[in-house]
Amino acid sequence: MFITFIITVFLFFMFIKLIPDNYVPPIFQGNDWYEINRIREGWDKPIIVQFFYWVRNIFVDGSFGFSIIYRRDVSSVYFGKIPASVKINIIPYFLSIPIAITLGIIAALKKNKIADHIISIMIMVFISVPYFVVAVLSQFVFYFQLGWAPSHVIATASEFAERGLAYGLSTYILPVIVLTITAIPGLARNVRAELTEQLTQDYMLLARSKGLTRRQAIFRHALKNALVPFLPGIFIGIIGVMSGGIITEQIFRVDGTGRLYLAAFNGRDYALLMLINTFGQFLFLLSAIVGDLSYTLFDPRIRVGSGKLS
Amino acid sequence: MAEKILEVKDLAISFKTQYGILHAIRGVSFDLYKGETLAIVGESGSGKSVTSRAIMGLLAGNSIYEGGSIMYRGRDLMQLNEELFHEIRGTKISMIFQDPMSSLNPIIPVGKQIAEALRYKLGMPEEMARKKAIELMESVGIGNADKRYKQYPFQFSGGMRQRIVISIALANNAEILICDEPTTALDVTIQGQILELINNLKEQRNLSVIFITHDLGVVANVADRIAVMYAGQIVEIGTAEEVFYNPKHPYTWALLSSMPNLATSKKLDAISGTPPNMIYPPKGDAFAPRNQYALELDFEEQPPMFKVSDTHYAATWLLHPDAPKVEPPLAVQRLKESRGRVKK
Amino acid sequence: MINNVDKNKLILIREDDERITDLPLETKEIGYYKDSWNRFKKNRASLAAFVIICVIFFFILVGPYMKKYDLPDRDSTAASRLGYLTPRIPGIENLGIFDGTKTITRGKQFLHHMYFSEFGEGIILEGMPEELIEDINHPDYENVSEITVKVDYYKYINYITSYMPERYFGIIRENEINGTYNDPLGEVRQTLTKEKFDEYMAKNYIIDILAIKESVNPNNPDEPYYQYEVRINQFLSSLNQLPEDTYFWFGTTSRGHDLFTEIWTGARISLLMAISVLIINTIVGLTLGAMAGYYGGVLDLLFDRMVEIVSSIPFLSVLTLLILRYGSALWVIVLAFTATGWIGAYYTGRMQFYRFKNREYVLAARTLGASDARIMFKHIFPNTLGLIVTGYALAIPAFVFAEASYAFLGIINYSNATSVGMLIQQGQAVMQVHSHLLIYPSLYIAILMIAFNLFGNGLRDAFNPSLRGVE
Repeated sequence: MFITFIITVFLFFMFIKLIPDNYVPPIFQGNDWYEINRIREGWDKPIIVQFFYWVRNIFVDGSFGFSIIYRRDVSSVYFGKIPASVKINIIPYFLSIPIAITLGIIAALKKNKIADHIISIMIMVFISVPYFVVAVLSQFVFYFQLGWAPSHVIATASEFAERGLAYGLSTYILPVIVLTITAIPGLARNVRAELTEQLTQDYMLLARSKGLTRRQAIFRHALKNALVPFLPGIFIGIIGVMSGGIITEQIFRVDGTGRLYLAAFNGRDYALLMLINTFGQFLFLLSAIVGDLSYTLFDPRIRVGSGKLS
Repeated sequence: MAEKILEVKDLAISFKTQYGILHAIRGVSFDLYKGETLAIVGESGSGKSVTSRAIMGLLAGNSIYEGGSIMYRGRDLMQLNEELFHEIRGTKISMIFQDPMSSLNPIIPVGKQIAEALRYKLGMPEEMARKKAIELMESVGIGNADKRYKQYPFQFSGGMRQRIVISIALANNAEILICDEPTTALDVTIQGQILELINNLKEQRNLSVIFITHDLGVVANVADRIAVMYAGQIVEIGTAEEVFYNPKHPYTWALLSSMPNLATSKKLDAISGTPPNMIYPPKGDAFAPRNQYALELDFEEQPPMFKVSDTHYAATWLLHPDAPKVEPPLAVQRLKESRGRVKK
Repeated sequence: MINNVDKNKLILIREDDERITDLPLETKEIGYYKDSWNRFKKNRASLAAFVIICVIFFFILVGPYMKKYDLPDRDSTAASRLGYLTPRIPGIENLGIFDGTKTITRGKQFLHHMYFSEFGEGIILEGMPEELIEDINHPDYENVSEITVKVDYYKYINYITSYMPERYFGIIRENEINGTYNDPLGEVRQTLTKEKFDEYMAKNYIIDILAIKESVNPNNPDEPYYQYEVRINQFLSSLNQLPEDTYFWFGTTSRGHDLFTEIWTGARISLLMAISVLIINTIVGLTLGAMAGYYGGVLDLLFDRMVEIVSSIPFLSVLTLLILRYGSALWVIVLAFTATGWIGAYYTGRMQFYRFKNREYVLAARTLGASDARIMFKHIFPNTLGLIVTGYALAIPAFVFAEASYAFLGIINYSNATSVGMLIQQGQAVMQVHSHLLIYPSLYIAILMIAFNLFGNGLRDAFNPSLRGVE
């Protein structure tokens, strides 16, 4: 897993270095800048060596490269934007999970009745329609048409200062709601499917014949079994809170990591892109590890192994 | 004279399916006496499982109550609402199932699953329930119960798991134990162990057992009385002796003939044909199309229960005083002859 | 009761040694495909979705040709004058929707002038206050500088591009204040040569003549060079029809393209790309998968490693890096999607091959003497077919989704093609004033995606043989 990570990062690096316009020195900097970085990052050496220089720079200087756009080390640029992304992602994350699970449970328990149909339709709609369409349309409807939201973008730091905390927070309401609503259907659908499956299992029959009420049997057995597959995903999700959704940040003007990606892309800031991609890979690696760990934690079959047979 | 503990009268239950109404049980009557083992024998689809679910009140959502009653301690179980039924299930009447692997929840330790029955029905505190559960595990023959309390179902063999299921069923000292094909999924050698266990427990606790199976060999071992079911009805009922050595219904004959017999090298007599589609229940005797000894009347009118003795009844027109006398097939006669040689 | 029976019936039916045979099966056997089709038909939502998809496909095929409108290609300046028109559909317009109207807020002097001018007749439909009609300087409206009215937008656009620009009065005031000499009619003043003038006159394009300038013709001093400064009816000259006869079903974009056409063109492109991507993915994936499954051993392990690496690379990275390197051409996008997309087909191919080797029913069929080909087609293929078809049905919307999302963000940015995502992005920028540019592309994508997902789900359930006989 770790090896995959290294190889992938190296592939990124190589590919970026191979892009033809990588070496044009910014006009305003003049040749000194070029020289300094040439030595530091080894631009005239073969790519593999450059890679090692880059790695070395990370561990020795804590430097990930120099951003053309922002004119400072990319790490300070990037990591400085993380709080903004977290701010907008964290509430939807914590809200959507219990709501999704509840809806999934309701839909599974009331299968084929009205409640289930309504929930299923909502799930179908929100899963299909692309997220940005939902976001943009909600901006259109709730701000421009109905005027319910105070603004179609979130407040900037200066606006917070000028117009107060209450106003600033109120601008977060629309994006947070949109994010929550679009995060719900995926999990809800899975919970519904899994719970439905578990409800038909034999052990439920035994639970009932043991004398448990329907309610007890559902909550103590079926539900527990149904939720186990999703716990790793939930844990992984917390990692994802750090990297904002590009689309969200673009539409709602959040000054976070997603927006930064676009800026790097449009400005062809390769050092920044390198960092963002690498960090993304790193998060992916982390998620995989967390996922594996949580599996062993939650599913006893995996934890205990094949065990002793008697 | 043993007391009647369960009285089933004219029970009829159907199911709503996408193809129509399936008449699963069409008028079943039998009694269960205290301390006895009643075996219900029949092919798949004969309605035996549905009967047991009805007694437990665990019929599927698309079930339709068509009539009849199940009297238990003066109350009709078919009229009981869920709340009251809840008091009976698990404490008075218990059930064990065919596949012990899927009967147990794979992610909960087995000890907890046993203790659950104690805690949620009797309200026992946790520590006491744990002790009692360990006792139960030992009483069904699971060694090292202390350590094994925390283990998971997949860490046990099939036979062991079935023992655990049995201990769950008996945790609350039920009076009636329904066993729905408990040994079908187990190896033959383990089957014997489980049957012995059930017999022992029955004696220790004075249980009344309803034993559902399609395997006549198993029946011979455990049953005091036998009820043979076909197409949602009981076609013959009597003591084990009577049914094995003096069967009167052609279906029972066919069943007995089709048992593999080590004594002869004659060809196996399979019962040809398949059970009828219960969405369109046949007029007359349901077994008639496959009945070697069918009478013309069998195709038109259902035979009532004819009395053979105080304890032995069979529903076949052959027992009508005016019906022709037929000899049961060879295999059945041979069984009768071997009677003397069999020890119970 | 027993004594009521007909004693005559109490006779044995069968002979002693007669053998009872099994009754022949009364139902017809249903093949796999027929069974799947039955199941699919029963799912009404999927059927409806299927119909919708067919309708959409029809429009994708035919849509771009439905409106003959090549002005943007011929003359993009003229086309951009026709930008931002609201939707209008013949017939439906009488119902009050899709009627090409718009509610606008403009200076009261400008609107007042328009109300009374001959060329501006019939433009303002509602909202003009009575008081102002009587007297432009009515005291009630002294402090009001702008009025909101509902106009026939097509005629309105024609008015401001042909007759009088919106800034007319503003320019005049500026001239007064600043002492400048800007031409208030500058935007609409067109200068024509005599030939052009005669031509346009004959075709009735000319509204009125503002000035005729005479200058000396160097070639022929006797014949002066005439230049005509005129106002031209733009609709007539560009489209050869009056505003009231012009219909843009979904309105026009900022550059004057017909939105209806643009949507279907973009849809067509994304669909073609989707199909290409799918085909390439399937070919590459199945081949590699089959090889891995067939040869097994070292090759399988090697491929496994490779797949692990490839699958851990996020798609966004691949896309952005490729675009940075090669630009935003169609083939680049296709390449990006196939670079990581073949993995799904790879697993399928590999899985199927393993099944081919080890499944019990294959062994059974072999034992009965089936040939390899027969096994493949009758046993393995139906399983695969189900997977493939469902895969396709769900892969196409996935592609459309992704492509639209990235086009919206601007990462994908075609220079000479459209994408619905780009349309939505443009719509978003102006959604406050020109909502139609946002709504129709969004509706298109929403409906397409919902229909495809419903359809894909229905297919998946239909082809699932374990659901056979289950309600």
